[in-house]
Amino acid sequence: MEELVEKAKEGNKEAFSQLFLELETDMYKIAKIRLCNESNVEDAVQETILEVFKSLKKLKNNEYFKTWVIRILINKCNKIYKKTKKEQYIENEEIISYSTNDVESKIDFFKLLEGLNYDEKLAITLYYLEDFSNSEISTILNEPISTIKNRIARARKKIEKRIGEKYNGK
Amino acid sequence: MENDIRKIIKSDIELPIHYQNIVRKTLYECEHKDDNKLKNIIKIIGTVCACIIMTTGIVYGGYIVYEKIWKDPQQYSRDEYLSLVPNKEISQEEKVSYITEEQAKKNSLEILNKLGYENQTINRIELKRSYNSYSNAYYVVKTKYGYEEGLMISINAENGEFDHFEDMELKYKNVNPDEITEERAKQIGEEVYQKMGLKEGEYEFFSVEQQQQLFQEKSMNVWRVEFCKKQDGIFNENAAFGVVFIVEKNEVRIVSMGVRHDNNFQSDEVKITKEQAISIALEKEKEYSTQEIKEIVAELSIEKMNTFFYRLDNDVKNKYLKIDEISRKVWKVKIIHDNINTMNKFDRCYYIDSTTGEIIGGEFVTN
Repeated sequence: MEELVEKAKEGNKEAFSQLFLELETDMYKIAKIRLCNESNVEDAVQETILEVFKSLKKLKNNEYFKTWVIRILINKCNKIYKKTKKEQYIENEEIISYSTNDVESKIDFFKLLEGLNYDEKLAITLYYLEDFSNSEISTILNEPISTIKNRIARARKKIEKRIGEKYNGK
Repeated sequence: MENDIRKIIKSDIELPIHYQNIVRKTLYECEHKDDNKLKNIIKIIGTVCACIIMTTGIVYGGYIVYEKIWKDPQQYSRDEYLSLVPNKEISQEEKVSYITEEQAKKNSLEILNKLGYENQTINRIELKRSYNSYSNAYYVVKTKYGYEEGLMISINAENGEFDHFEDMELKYKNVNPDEITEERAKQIGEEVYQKMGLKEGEYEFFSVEQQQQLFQEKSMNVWRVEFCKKQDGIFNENAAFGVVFIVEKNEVRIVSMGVRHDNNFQSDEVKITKEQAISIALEKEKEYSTQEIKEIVAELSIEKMNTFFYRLDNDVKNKYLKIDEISRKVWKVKIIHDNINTMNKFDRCYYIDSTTGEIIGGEFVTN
């Protein structure tokens, strides 16, 4: 990825596109944790790509590209979330009621995170999806490492409890 | 259990097609515009050609057969592509064929003098690999060491010609420009053109507009003036000189300025009429939309061949596509639908080769 970042910084636009094609699924998952409305997710990801395009040359250390992109994305999502809070609330309600009826389907990414609050969802996703360390997540979210550690542990416990119940047929 | 969690979180999900289209549209816009010119990008929400079967590169029937212009792109995986891209390191053998650092510094200072930046010293110079078809390397010359400081000029390392200028301090600092009229802006653009010593008539005045910035409404009083080459009587926007500037306390301050080259323009006779081009585009458009057509706009233009329709019609996700870098005279045919009652907010523009009638590229247009 670092080589692609360097090429993109040099003006190679195919490399720039490839970077985002590799990240598009992860970006979707992260944005979707915060934003239910598809259109808002699209806005957040689109704005992130444009911001990165505009400021890529300012990134001093290529190895932090992914961390940097995700931080921009999270900020964009938070901004949109604040603007559209009411709309998000309504959609959340709909999604929860839909999911509860769908008990037979297998656990996927979104189902796994059900029952966690936003902070827990985000922390555990960054930890397992991106393999970020506690310290990297702490930098991205601008929160103390101890908070991140506790959050991930809490999220893991909740998930384990839920998955355990499902496996045991409870 | 931890492995299960990791596996599920990393598992593939089916991305909505709208989302994928928006990512690609945004990347397409980034690939085809420089950041100064990037206009507000309107989101795509529309039907997607999941079931479209199309053959590309058909020479329009019923006319003299010309050699096909369009050839299907070569496809590469990421690794294959990276192996084709030259390393950023520039070998000693290559360096021999380039102008020296001293020459690049000298050329840069001459340009700065022309623009009225006197008594400047060069504090940083780097030779960098270029990834465009025009040159293989360029010098980045800076009056100050820090990235966000001083003046920056890039010089083509092969022929020593001016490539790009930026006032990094203006770019990264807040400015408070004076209000000026469009006429005054055009006049300033022409003055800069003359100062740069560009031949009269080499490029012709093409446009003057207030610069658009990302995520903002028009950035007031930041102006862009463009001069383009006229080829076969048509403005070629790929061969241009452009300057972005402000006026602050009655003083003109250039934010950025650059030259775009198009050495791959193929001049051919226009054989396809406007009506024929429209009918070719309409035939193809049937594959994408059944909405009522509100308006069709067609004009002769010079455009680079691109993979727009190829990407729409083929499953080439995660593939690098490579096509010949040529520009041709095309009929740009925009087909605008009456989308008022639908979610579809974008339409397509076709590049119909004006000699062969082939569809050699296209773009999304907003309605």
